[in-house]
Amino acid sequence: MAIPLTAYLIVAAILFAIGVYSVIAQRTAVMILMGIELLLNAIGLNLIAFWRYVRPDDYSAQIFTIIIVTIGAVEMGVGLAIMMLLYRNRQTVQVDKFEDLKG
Amino acid sequence: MSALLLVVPLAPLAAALVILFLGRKATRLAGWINVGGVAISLLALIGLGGGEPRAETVWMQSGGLTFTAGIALDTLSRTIAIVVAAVALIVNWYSVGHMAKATSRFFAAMSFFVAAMLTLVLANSTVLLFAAWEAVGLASFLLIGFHYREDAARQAARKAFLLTRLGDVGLLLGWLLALRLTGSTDIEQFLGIVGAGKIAGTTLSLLALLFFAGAVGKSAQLPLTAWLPDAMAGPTPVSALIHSATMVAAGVYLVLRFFPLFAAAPGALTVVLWIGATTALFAALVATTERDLKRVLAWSTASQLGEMMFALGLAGPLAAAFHLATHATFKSTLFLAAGAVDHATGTRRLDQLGGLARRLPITACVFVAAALALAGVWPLSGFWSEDKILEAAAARGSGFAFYFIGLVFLAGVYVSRAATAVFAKWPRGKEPDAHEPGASVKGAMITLAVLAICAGFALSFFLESAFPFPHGPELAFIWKVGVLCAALAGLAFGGWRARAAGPAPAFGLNFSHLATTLDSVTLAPAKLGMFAAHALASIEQAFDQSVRTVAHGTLSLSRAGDRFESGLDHLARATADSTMSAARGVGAAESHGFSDLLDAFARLFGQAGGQVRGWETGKLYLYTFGLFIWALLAALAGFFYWR
Amino acid sequence: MILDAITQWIAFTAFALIAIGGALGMTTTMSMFRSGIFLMASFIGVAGLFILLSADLIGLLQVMMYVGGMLVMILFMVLFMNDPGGSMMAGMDMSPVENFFSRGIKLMDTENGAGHEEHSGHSSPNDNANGESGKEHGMEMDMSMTTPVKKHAAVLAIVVGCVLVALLLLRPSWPISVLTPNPASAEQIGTLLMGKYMMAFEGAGLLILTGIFGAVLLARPGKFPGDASREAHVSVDEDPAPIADDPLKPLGPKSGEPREISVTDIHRDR
Repeated sequence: MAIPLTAYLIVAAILFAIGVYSVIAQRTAVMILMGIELLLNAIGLNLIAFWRYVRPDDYSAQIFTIIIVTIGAVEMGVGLAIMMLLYRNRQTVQVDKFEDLKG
Repeated sequence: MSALLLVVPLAPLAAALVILFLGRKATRLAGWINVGGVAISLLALIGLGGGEPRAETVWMQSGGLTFTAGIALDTLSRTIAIVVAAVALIVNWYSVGHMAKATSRFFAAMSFFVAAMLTLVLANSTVLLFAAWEAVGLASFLLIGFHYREDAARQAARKAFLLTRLGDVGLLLGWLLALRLTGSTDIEQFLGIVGAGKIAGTTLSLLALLFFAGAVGKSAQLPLTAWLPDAMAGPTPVSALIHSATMVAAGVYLVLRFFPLFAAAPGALTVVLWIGATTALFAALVATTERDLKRVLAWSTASQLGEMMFALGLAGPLAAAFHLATHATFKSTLFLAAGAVDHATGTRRLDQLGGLARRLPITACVFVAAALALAGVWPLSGFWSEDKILEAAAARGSGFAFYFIGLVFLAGVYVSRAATAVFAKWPRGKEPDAHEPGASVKGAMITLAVLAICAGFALSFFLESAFPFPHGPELAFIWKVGVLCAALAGLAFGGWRARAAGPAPAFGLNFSHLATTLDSVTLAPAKLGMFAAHALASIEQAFDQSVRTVAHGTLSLSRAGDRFESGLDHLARATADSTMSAARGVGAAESHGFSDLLDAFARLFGQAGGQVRGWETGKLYLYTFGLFIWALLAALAGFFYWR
Repeated sequence: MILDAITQWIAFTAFALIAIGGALGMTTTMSMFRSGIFLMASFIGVAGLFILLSADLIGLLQVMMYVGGMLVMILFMVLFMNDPGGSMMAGMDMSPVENFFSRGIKLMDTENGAGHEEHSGHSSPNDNANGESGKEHGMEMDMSMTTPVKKHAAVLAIVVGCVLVALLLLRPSWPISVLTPNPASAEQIGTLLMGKYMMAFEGAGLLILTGIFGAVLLARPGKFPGDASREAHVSVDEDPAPIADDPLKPLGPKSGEPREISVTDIHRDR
């Protein structure tokens, strides 16, 4: 317990910021999905850190993390499938090509 | 027997139909068919012998009224029917020759008349009697107007029809009243009720007078005499058959048929007496003045019918019936002879005829024989029947007997005058060119002349069996001598006058005014009617004027209504126009006010929408960018809020 | 596992650096393949941090699920695409970080198109400044890693990071428990999963099942146009029947039959 809780939280915050950048700045759908995974990882890190330092006797945090991982996996699978379909139809995964709903 | 009885009226009717069917050209054949039909009827009548068959049926029943239709043969009707059939047969025979150039319509009408007349004589019910009565009237009309292209024939037919109709109205009312009283049209039943005295005296008188009105019309009694002389416009066989022997005698026959009724109503019988007496005298006087042979005979007929009515009025039906039969024979003979003269010379005027005895000896003989019979010279038929009338008159009183002797004298005068004027040698020396008629005409004339000579003498032996009427007391011989003397005196006077004065009236011109007076009197109701019609016309006109006034008033009222309507219309139009302009104003306000305002709003929203639309770029990264900025701000806000 | 504080700090620093550096490299490199590798590194760093936090099971799960499962999938997907190596982007104007992580990427051979060189040279000066132009003639920018808002995104990310860190630093500290977690935490977690969080567990299972079905349904070669043969036969509508008494002449060529345009034709035009 030499390392303070805040250090973990700062690491998670930095990861989250990078994820935000990735989600906004990237053009390729695959890359956006990767950014989302990064965001999820940061959250998971936050959860585990709080569990360890605040309520180490309650393992519910770990359960939540597991479920987040699960949701991430599902999201990745479905997202990649959608992307594959898009690529088949449009020969691209550039998200700014998908602007059919532009006003 | 009944079937044979039915043959009597149906045979001439069938003959009429056959003639009509054959068409208008088969004149000769039609004449013989005509004769054949009547001959069958006569044979049937003779074949029936002394039987009294009847053929009747109930025509219809309505309420309490029973309409029967039937014919029956009894003593009176048999005798009269035989007389009718015999005279008709002979006249039709005569017609075959006399009317050789006529169309078959004539023979059809003659057959129809015979059928109707026989039906009338035989009829057992008042309704059938009335129907036959009208049918003979129709036949009379058709035959008088046979030469319908001649104005006189048309007028005469119309006159005869209308004047007889006047009497027929009485007959119609009479039998309807009888029907009302008895509930049946059966004549025997009616007479039985009358004989039983079940009807009040006044009603009986009324009934008798109504029936007598029909008889007056048919038998040309005063005041409905005027049609008979004019009816001479018809062909001579018609005059011989219808207007001397049969149809005009139907009136007398009617009174004979209903004599029990008249006997039960003495007042009515008195009327019959005086009308008959007046007619007989009047017609005889007129007959002495006429210059037309057939018209002389026509007036004579009226006079003779008056004598029959006179006899009836004296309660001597036997004398009337007897005289009816004998008169039928000798008057028909006279007409046939007159027709032969007319046929031979082309004229009937006494002042153009004369001295024909040598040219037409047979016709002259026939005419003279019949004239003597008419005058009542012994032993010709007229003597016997006039003897009976005198018998009835003498039974009533000497005055009536003398009156009748006067009538006989007048008859001798006019018939002698006519015969002398036509046949005696004319002092002027000019004899008309003439020759005897054909065989059938001659045969018929001679046959009928024989009848006219013998009928009275023959019938006087069978009076009881021929007529169902009682005898009067035997006439004193002095009366018989008296009447014979009167007749001979009349004949002598007439002949002398004719020799002396030619065709001039036997008793001067005074009596000739009687006819014109009668015409005037007869015409008076018509003139009165015309006057009434004129008066009514003015009333009608006034009425019309008032109606017109009402119509004009209505019209002007409707015009006023129309104007009011158009005023309303204008008002409505003005309202509509003002509403329209108001609507236009509202429309303008709408289009320029609200509409522009709303357009402005729409443009504003459109532009705003365009602006907002620009925000929707469709770029995913912009959306996520905004999302994260929002999240950041929310986190900051939450931090500062919960701190 | 009781490590002394130094060791803990060293391990923490190392894992944190790996995680942050991997993440940074993932998002900045031009090569998508490299991105995947960097992301794997980041995941492994985070897994290390999990283990350091006594959450052994979660760390293991992190490695197995993300690194072993999902990243393989991602890399497969990346390889499936055009230009996974980012060789087209190599000549682009890049920030120092990007240059650092994109080092070693060779520019693609340009034998197949002379216009590529020109265009590349052309677009160089104003590439980042004007994203619109890059998008306009973006045939060669097809696999570009960057968006026009890259700078704004970077600023936002930095702001987010600063705010979060500042919040962490400004906020009063949480009550720190002194308890030590049970080393056999896996058993506890299993008991919880099958007991208290049964419904969540089952729900997650159902979610995975549905996700698998959905993914298979979406990705299978099916009836969608342009699937296996990659040829979409777009049926252009037949010209409508001419309206009776039409005052206007119908526009366009009069062709009785519907034209067939295949996607490959369009692609060839490009």
